[in-house]
Amino acid sequence: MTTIIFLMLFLKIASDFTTAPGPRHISEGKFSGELFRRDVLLPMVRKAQSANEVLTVDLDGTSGYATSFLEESFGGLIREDDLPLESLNSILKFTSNEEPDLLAEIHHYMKEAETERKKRVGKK
Amino acid sequence: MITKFWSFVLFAAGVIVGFLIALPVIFFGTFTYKAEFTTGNITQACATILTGIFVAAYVQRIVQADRKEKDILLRHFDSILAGLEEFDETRVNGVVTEMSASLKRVKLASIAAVEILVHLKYPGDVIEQARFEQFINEINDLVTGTPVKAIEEHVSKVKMSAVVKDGISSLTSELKLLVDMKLQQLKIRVFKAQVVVNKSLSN
Repeated sequence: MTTIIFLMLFLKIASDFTTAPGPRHISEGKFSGELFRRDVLLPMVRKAQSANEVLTVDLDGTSGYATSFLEESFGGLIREDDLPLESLNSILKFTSNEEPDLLAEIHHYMKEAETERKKRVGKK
Repeated sequence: MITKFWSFVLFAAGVIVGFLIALPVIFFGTFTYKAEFTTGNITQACATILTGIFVAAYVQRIVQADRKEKDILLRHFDSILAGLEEFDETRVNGVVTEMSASLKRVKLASIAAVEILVHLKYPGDVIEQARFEQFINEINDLVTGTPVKAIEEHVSKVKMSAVVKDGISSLTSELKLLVDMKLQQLKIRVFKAQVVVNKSLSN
């Protein structure tokens, strides 16, 4: 009998980054989306990619997210770090009991960023 | 939930059914009334009175519990309105973290209100009246997607032509007005929900 073990990485923004997420850019204030993406999210995504694991991002426990924070963090992975949406979809999972509608919002930002990325790649 | 209307319907149906049952009894004269003070008669009368008292107390308890739950709901809507006032104050400072935190509190209160309504088995249209998440998300998008304060600060720092500066200023003013309008719409919706719940309380 073969046993398949699925490994999973877990990232809780409230405990691994901050309970009070801030604005979009580092220059705009503390705990920005840019800082979160650069220092926390991207390294975890790279780790998940190399180990072929699923990274679950838990959005609960914070004081609330600015739209710009979410867009910069997750849309930024595609737009700034040039990671295709397809590859992210297979390794990134989101969870939120407090605000389940955030999941659709994040997917929307990621789709928009992918359109932008494809346009840029097409131009090159 | 039994409303006043349904209580009346039940009562009317009970009277009609009782009358119909009594008709053959009266017609055939099966039972005749005999005023006798026997132990059995007195026990029966006591049992009937006690049952009546028990039923009345039970119904009153249910109605009171229902009223309490509705009072809690109305107070919950008040807290949503208070949260919106608090959010309005955070807009003055324009700190993204404060604004999003304040909106999240309002959103969680709104989600809880809907959960309570569902739990109390309110009709679908009442529950729909109390769904404010979409409005809150829209306001969050407007105030934290492109924060007005950040734009104004940026405009004051960077050198640009007066025409561009004026254009940006008018855009930020429009954005502020749009948020004001959305906020007002949301407050009106909360008021409406309060009225709908209050109306169902008086039914």
